[in-house]
Amino acid sequence: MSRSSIAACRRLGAVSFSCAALALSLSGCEGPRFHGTQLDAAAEAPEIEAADMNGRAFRLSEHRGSVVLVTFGYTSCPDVCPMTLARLKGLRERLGREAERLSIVFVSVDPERDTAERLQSYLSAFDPSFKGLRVERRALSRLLASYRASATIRPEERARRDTSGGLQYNIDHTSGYFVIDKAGVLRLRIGPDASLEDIQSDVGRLLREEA
Amino acid sequence: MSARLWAKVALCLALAGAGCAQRAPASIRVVDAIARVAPGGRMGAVYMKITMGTSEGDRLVAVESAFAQGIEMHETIQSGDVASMVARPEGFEISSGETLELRPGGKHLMMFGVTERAGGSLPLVLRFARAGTLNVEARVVGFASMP
Repeated sequence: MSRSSIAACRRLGAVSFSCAALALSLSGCEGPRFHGTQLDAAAEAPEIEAADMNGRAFRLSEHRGSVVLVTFGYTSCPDVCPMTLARLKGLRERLGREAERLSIVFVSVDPERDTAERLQSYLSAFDPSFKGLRVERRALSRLLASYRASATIRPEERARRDTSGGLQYNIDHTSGYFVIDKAGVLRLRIGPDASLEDIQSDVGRLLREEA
Repeated sequence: MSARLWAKVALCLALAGAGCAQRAPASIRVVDAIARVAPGGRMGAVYMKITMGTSEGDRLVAVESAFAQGIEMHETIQSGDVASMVARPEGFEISSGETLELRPGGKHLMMFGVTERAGGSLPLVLRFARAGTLNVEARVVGFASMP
């Protein structure tokens, strides 16, 4: 290779390196990607309005300035819901003081059985700061639809009873987490299998954003 | 203790007695049995690993405890984001040499009407189609403990 072609290659190399560096810096401006699914519509999260388990009125739109994590479940759920709530307890512990601006909301998909007392006793086993909401059936259907979530009782489950005669049906329901940022925008949908590290990374990032 | 509970204790003691039921062979091995019980004992879940060291496979057909009104075999199935809990009254098949893992988010035992035994252990009787019964003790962990 001639001396002039070596010089040309070096110039080309320098230009390529500069382009790569520019591309990296531009992508850096956007920050790392979230682990959860980013929702396209940067729109206000659908309103959630209900009495909480302590009888106080809860209105999602009044929680601007905090990150709100919403999950759907029911207190007769022995496997998935305790697992979800145990992870959220772990999330709060990992976030430490940052968690002061995080609200965790558990919306019952079983208003027929989940009384305020049941929600209180179930959730306080995990973290007394968790808010349990009981929404009447008709309003619950609208709320679930607005979050593109579902909760259904299979026909064969409806009449299931335990040996003491109590209703023992199970509910198929959307699991995982909906995360609303400090501006009230529904930003992320995190799947039920996400690792605690990934949830912490995503929620932590939203907590560090300016309101 | 209620009459019903005493009856269950008596039943379990009877099942545990050598003369009343076929005892499962020692080659069925159960490890890591834990129970999580909801506040008030309304319901709970049990997880464990069962290894079938017998020459033939077997089926777990029932589980009982003197301290639970009922125990059912269930499986959590995740279809996309929707979690479903399906009853498995037919039980769980375990092939020879295989290990059945009852775990959070998968196959598990659902209990209801549990006498709270926080920090202790929960005696269970596993009933197999061929091998008979096997007594195990599940360690009771906090309901909010991380799986």
